[in-house]
This record gives sequence, structure tokens and C-alpha cells, in this order.
Amino acid sequence: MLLFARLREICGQSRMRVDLGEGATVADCFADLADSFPELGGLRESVLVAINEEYATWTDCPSEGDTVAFIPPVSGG
Amino acid sequence: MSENLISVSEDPISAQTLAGLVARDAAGAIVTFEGTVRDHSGKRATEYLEYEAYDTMVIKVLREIAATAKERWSLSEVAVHHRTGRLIVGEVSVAIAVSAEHRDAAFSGCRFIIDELKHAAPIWKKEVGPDGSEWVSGPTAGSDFGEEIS
Repeated sequence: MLLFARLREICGQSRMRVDLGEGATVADCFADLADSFPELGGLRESVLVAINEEYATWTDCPSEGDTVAFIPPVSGG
Repeated sequence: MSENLISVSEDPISAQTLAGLVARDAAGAIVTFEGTVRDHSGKRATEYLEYEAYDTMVIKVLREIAATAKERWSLSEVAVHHRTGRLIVGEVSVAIAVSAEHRDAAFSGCRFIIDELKHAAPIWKKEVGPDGSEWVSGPTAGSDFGEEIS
């Protein structure tokens, strides 16, 4: 699981390994994280997700070994 | 598309360098764009910007954007480089060069690429100034979008 920018700062780390239960979605993954870092809870609306470097949806279920990235509002350029 | 046409790194870049990469005998126009670090954001002073990127995904996204632009406007070649790390006022954060047979396609393609990059590339910037620091929330949430792309 990868965390960037503000999300990285809130969690104090840029990557972590998580074991997800059977059928767990990306949303479940973020909810688990928000349990540990409550500040994340209010940010979900603005966050996009990617699985293996492709934009994905909150209801997608990552497979073992997948890389899930949480992407706060982008500001490149 | 060769590797060095699309890149993300801490290395300085100029549109002039990229223009050299996209020059083609059949192309009669090269349009370039440089995004540079402003000394202010709204009413707040900026000392430097700290850029962070999901590098591998940025490359994928930029390749898709470049491929779309090439197809839509029959562009000859496209090069895009985005910098990461700490950039001071006046430094180039993003450079784009587009070549095409004629100028209209080159202008349109270049404009499309910078707009799409700002919208979709997983890159973040933090503005740091005397009043503190803040992650920029992007064009959709910002009040100075018109100013930013002018």
C-alpha cells in the first residue's frame, strides 16, 4: 500500500504491507487505515485509488501481491 | 515511444532540450511549454515548492496522454519531463515539447498535454513560504486555475 503527500504525512510512512481478508475492497483497506489514523476519515471523498499503477475504484478487490495506492488531490505542473 | 521522451526525475530540464528530442524533418512546427515556480500563491509568498510523484504511475499516465495527443492531432513526436524534489522560484517544474506538420496541431496538442497532466498525473506539490507550508489541492479546488494555465 502506497501513501503520498498529505496522506503520507498523516500516516508517517510512504508504504506498508497489509493482509486483507477474503473479498476485501480498496474501501475496506482505507477504512482499516482510518481506524489507526482518524484524520484520514474526512479525506476519503477527495482521494482516488490505483491498483498496480492504474486508476481503480473503491469497490475493486486487490489480489495478493497487488500494489494499492491512495492518491490525494493531484497538483502537478 | 522511446524512454527518454517521457520522464520524471530530480534533474533540471528545459523545453529547449526537449525541443531537440522532438525535431523531425517532416515537422514544420514545434511548440514548447515550461511550467515555472511562481513567487506567490494567491496572496501568500512562496519560497520553494516540494514536488512528490508516484514516478512509475506518472510515466504510465503521461505515456497514455502523449499517445492520445499524438493520435488526435497526428503529432510527429511528444516529449514531457516533470521534476520532483525541491524547486526554487523561477525553476522549471514541467517541460513539454510537441512537434507536428503544422502549428495548429502542435499548439492544440501541447495545451491538451499540460491540461491532462495537471488533471491526471499522480504528482503533488507543497508550497513552502514564510507563513508555513501547504499541499496544493489541484486545479479543481484552486481559485487561480485561470491564472495558473495562462
